[in-house]
Amino acid sequence: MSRPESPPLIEVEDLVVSYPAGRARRVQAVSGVSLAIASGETLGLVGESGCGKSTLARAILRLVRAEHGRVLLAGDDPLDERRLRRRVQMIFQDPVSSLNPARRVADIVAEGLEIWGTDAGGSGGRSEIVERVLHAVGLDPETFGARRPHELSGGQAQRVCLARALAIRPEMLVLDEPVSALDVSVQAQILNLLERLKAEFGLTMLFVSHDLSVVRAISDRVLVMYLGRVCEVAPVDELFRRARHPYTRALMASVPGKPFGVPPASRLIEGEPPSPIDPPSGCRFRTRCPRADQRCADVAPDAIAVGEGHLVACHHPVDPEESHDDRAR
Amino acid sequence: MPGSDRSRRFPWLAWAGAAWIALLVITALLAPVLPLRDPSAKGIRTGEVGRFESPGWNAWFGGARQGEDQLARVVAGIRPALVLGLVVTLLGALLGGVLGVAAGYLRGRLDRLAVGFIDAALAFPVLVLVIAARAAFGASLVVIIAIFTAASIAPYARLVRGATLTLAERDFVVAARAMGATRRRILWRELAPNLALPLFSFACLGFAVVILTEGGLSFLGLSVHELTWGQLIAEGAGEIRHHPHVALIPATVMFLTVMAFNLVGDGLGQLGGRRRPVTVQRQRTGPPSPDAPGPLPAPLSIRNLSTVLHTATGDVMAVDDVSLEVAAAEVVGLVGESGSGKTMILRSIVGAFPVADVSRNGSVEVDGVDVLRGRAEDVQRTLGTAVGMISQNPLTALNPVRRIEHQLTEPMTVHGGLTRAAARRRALELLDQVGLTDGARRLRSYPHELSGGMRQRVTIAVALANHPSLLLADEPTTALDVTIQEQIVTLLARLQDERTMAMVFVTHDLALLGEIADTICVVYGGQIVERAPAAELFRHPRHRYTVALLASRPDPAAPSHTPLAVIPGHPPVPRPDDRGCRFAPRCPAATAQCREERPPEVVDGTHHVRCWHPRGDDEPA
Ligand SMILES: Nc1ncnc2c1ncn2[C@@H]1O[C@H](COP(=O)(O)OP(=O)(O)OP(=O)(O)O)[C@@H](O)[C@H]1O
Ligand code: SF4
Ligand code: SF4
Ligand SMILES: [Mg+2]
Repeated sequence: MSRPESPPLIEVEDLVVSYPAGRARRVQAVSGVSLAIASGETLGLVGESGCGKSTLARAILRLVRAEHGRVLLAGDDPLDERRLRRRVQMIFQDPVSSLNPARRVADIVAEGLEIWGTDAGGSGGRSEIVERVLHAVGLDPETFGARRPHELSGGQAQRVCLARALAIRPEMLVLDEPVSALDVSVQAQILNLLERLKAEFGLTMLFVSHDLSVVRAISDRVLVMYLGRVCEVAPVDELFRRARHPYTRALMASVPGKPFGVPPASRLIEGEPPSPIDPPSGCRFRTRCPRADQRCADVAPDAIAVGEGHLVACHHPVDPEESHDDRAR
Repeated sequence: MPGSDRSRRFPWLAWAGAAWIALLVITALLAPVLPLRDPSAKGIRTGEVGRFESPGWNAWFGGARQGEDQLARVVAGIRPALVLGLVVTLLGALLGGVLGVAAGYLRGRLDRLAVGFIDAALAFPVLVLVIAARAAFGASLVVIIAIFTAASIAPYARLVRGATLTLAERDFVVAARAMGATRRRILWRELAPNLALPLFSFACLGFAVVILTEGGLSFLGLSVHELTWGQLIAEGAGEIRHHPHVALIPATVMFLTVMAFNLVGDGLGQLGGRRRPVTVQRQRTGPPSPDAPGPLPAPLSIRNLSTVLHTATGDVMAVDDVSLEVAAAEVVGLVGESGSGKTMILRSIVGAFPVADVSRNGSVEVDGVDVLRGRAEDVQRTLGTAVGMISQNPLTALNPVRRIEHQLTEPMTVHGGLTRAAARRRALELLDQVGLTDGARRLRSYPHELSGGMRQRVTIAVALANHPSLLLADEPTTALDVTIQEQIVTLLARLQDERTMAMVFVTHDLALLGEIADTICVVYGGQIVERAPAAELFRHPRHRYTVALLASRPDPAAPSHTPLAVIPGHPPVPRPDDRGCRFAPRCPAATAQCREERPPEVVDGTHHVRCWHPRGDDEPA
């Protein structure tokens, strides 16, 4: 539903994913999401816990099965999921637990080469490639190659995860909360590293996070999700300057320190997100939305274009002029 | 943390067990060449050993009914015991392991079949099987092995299936799948190495069970014809009154062997990280600090507090010379990265620690009561009534199997002396104050029926139950979403204001403290490295760590993709013998002095900083 300029590397069309929820019921974690990510672009994906961010990320790699819809890679539907995983790599939130505790760093990084053959890593033998990617992520192969995961700090472990992913030269990284488990001082290191690797390896990224400041720093475009649906997509500066969806504004207003110049969220939004097992009719945000009316309860809003690459799924989008008090606080 | 796994050592008792097993194996192997008598020779005929001869130089383990040498017989019994144990354990572990992995990893119909088999097999009476088999096939070693193996497959399969199910959900297995690894590869490279240790540990315990069961069968006369320890014991049992050594010595050997396998199995289990709960708390307290408390007791007054955790990986200086005064109605924020010691400062106040052996020095006073050295009853009453605590994870803070009503009224009836009815009335009031509607229904709920935000409101209500003068909040919103975080912070600020409570608010988010705290303390390496009124701290950060921390967050005014200022390296584990400033390895302004000498506390009005070279106002922040 979003339209990047260069041809998309990944396209997701009307994706639906659900999980069993006991007694023959199912909960829809992702309810009809479409998106496209251009080659070389970073798309930020934000939303609160349980909104389906991780499920969407995993469905792109076919780690969970989609009930409906499809994922196209460079224009075609890769039927072979293993081939897809060769070209798209995933990075997880908890770096230490995503490394096999029984193996050494050098072997962990070589894992993709063992699976896909050394040729997948470009020129050189296996140990050369391992050294090269460890250097690229800022780890000294001499010092770290023989260590085991429990001998690494969180930041170091996340670097190892990145090295493992990069060893087979993927075109895209799907990063699910890659810095959320890290200390504030280490977060900045990893974010800078990601920017450098993106340029060096020509990567496309889907960056999932609940932290708006981080998403703003690293993304080209941002997609906001609520209860399995897309609320708003826009280029990063447009979104943070002229957010139109009431939920996007509520999210921005909740960030401590009010860095985005939106009045306190408590004036915008009340209560807690409803259960995804039994989502509200019409617009899913209506139970917490200050602008909700009868139409919102009856009809689910379609995404409408409100600017260059800016889409909003809302019946009564906020006037951009009233949305930010010009940082004057 | 690097090296944190050193605590998983193989305990010395397990080494002792392993030594005993090694001794048995060597003896059994060398039995033919050792100068032992023939175990079947009847001493009363050869004249070498007497009938029921007592243990002594001639026959170390004594003689049996017909003068058989007991030492020779016990040694002869090693082989069948070990062979039986080994074969059964290997076969059972192999077959059960394969079944368990297949069921746990492949899931689907195979798993349902396997679970059915396991449940049925575990319910099957083995003894009946043994008696039937013996009647049908006689009592050869092969028959016994077959029966024992059949009986042990199910427990192994159950163990391995469970372990596989949990492992398969672990991130590193998902990561391997995301890399495109094949199923076979995941089984061999990801699952098998991590299953080996628990399986091996379980097998040792299984070995012990086999030896014990064989003994039991011999006693019932159901075992093999060969000479086994079980038979020796059974034979000697009749003479237990007059010649106890005949039964007791083989029984002791068997007991030691069973014990040895159990110890080795337990040791392996610990190696694999099965943690034992901390039961004993040893807390040492140093002498009181010389300065006397002021005239009006503050809700919280901490002076020169140091807390050292004595852990398996060495001493950790979790709190290092912290002094902190919190006045009534004041909100003090503690901010720091993980491991900086902010939670330990709170825990040092209430005296609850994650390790068993802790030393505290300095003084901590709550409402004028010295909680480190005061009378136990005084301390307990003060902590129970004057202090309320809110923790990071609202789910684990509440007992999952008890209704909200119990958890909310208990502190009021136990510490506050209210009747049940009065406590219930107050509980309803409290729920209303923390913004939970429909209080009567909430009281009847269990924690899992509430959302994360609602649970945190309940823990706040619990903390407020006894009108505390001091509220300790440890990352109360970290587990919550931003929109809920906003609601909870607003609620805490309102309650704190209405009740003129003092509050210590711990978080890793500096910006959040800007919203709620009057005073902010920046914690690094167990120390408060900077303390200042909130606005002052943001405007004029002085400590180099504070400056770096403020700079490392993305600047909302800068365009996206602006490189962030980084702090190289990662936070240290503070040790008691650290010299100099703990931030020195990461500090851009560090000098030789910083590395050698502890920085002094520089006080400028309300602004305290521990740094040799604090940032000046003219330097860019
Ligand atoms: N394996 C599962 N089985 C059942 N339900 C699940 C499973 N995984 C996720 N869910 C549910 O699906 C919904 C979306 O979950 P998802 O993990 O995608 O959210 P998220 O936005 O990534 O949240 P968080 O930020 O907490 O990770 C939630 O309601 C969650 O409870
Ligand atoms: S569609 Fe209605 S309820 Fe949904 S966000 Fe827009 S105004 Fe609010
Ligand atoms: S004392 Fe030295 S090393 Fe420590 S923060 Fe100050 S300048 Fe840096
Ligand atoms: Mg998630």
